[in-house]
Amino acid sequence: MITIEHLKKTFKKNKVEAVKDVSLEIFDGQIFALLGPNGAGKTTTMRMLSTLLTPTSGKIFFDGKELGENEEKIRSRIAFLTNEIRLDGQFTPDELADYYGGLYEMTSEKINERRDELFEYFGISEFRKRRYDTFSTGMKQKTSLAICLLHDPDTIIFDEPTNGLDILTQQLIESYLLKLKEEGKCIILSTHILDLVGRMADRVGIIVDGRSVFCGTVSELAPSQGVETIDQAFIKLYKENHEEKAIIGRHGKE
Amino acid sequence: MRKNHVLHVIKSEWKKTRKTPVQLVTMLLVPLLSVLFLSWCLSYVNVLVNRYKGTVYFPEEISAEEMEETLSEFYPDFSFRSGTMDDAQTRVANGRTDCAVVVEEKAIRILYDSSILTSSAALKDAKDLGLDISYLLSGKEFYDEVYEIYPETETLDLSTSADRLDSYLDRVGGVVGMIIFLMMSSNAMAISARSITGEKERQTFDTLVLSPAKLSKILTGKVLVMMAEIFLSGFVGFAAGIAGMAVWSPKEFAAITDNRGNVFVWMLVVLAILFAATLVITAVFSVIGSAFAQTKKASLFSSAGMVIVSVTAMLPSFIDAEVIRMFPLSNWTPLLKDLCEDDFTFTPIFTALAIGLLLFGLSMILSSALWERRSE
Repeated sequence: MITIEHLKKTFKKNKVEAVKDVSLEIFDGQIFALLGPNGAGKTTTMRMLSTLLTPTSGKIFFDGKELGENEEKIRSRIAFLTNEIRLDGQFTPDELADYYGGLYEMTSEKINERRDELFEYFGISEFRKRRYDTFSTGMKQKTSLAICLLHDPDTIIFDEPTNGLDILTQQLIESYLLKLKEEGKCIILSTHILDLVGRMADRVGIIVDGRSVFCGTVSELAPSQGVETIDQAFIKLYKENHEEKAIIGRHGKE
Repeated sequence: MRKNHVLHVIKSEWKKTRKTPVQLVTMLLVPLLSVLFLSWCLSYVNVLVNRYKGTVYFPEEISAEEMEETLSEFYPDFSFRSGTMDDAQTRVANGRTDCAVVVEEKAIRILYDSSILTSSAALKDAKDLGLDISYLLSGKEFYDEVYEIYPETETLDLSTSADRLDSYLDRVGGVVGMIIFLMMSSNAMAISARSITGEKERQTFDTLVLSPAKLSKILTGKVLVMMAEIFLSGFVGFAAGIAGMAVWSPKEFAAITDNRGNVFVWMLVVLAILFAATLVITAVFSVIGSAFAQTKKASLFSSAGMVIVSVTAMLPSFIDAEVIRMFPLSNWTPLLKDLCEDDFTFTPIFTALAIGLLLFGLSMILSSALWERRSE
């Protein structure tokens, strides 16, 4: 279980307050969808969760343990995949598995076992000796997914995992995420595809202008806003909170 | 058992190096060309310095034959005869001898034609020969007077102050050595700039940072592989250059010896120092440069560093004695003292090495802070 309390991140260099106040609760064995318009602070929140960024203030707890004090241990249990993070193109999938497996202190037997399983599932096996930079976008994404799941993490953080992929690859990834959910993993997804949220997510968190404005089950979202669909609820929440910012801005309080 | 992350990163990253033959060939090219140039210079100069004709003139009261018996074994390029300053001037002027050592009552004068390239080697031997003669004859003060008289004896208008004329070989060797050092540094910095920062720019570094391995261990592994690449390129380049020289002019190559012993050992010492300096500087710039998010910025930083290192390295050549005083390296160890006093070429390299080590220590301390700042 992950608990986020009043998370804040200010980039000192360009004085941007990317995340102002985000509080969320994410449970094991569920898919948590993180929604928000572009620039709302989703990626920054996810980067803080994955330990790539240090929060300016606020706390993150993994199963009751605070992230700051147990970063190294917690990091070994996390997988983070985003379109922005790429693997070194000069390696083959086999070499990448050896490299990253070694960094996660996996034994050779365990690496081989996981590699065979994941490569087989994602259809990488026949390309395992080919360099990563020769792959198509879909194949790269599948390889990245296989490599980042190699160490069998408990928490999987995906930033727009199916963005730009064909329907077959999307389905493959979606079904694997559901498999992981069944195994009791904690999955956090950031996406703009609300249909995907409706089909897969158990809980949802919405961030607008760096603030969490909703955190609850998918089934609660629409009724809580007095509308019928997730889309309508999202737009309503966005308009309400974005307008609030604009009013504050006009009064010079920001 | 806990895995050694540094070794693991080295092993994995090395696989990548193996797969980039073009990169390795490019890396080899710079030191290879520079070393071939050095070997050409050395062999060319050596051909020249070993071919001169010298003559020693003794006054009537000293037996030229006796002196020849004692000295000809050590100075095979000199002939010994009786004669005066006038004889020497005539002989040098008409080109029958390149260098004349004239023994007079209270002085030993050296005449030579400085317009020919063999003059520096001839002069070097003539000075040694003059010293030996002075010991054999009346005493040390006899030779000491040479330097007082010598500049005034420019009767042929061809002589140059012995104080100002260094060994031609040393001069060429020093300059080329410095060029190689700078070329290797720039090569190394180019590699370091594109390595870690390049990976960050390509967004392939975050995946490594996400692993439980400590950032310092990942960086150390990567920097060591990078240093190995540079070492390999430099070492193969140097070895090829030395082999080229041996094949090119084997006679001269075998004949090159100086007061430091066999040229091969001497070149290996230079090689080791150049590598040590280059590698330390590379490590410094890689670690500090890794804090930058863009290759452009890292390159800019490396270029600035390059200027600093170059100035640090070049400055002592111009103000050697002053710098020795400023950086009293000669007090460090007997080995350094010998090297520093023997050849000022070493001073800038040691200075750069010392500054490099200091910077490396600082950079290791600062690197975590810099990374933290990046994440801000």
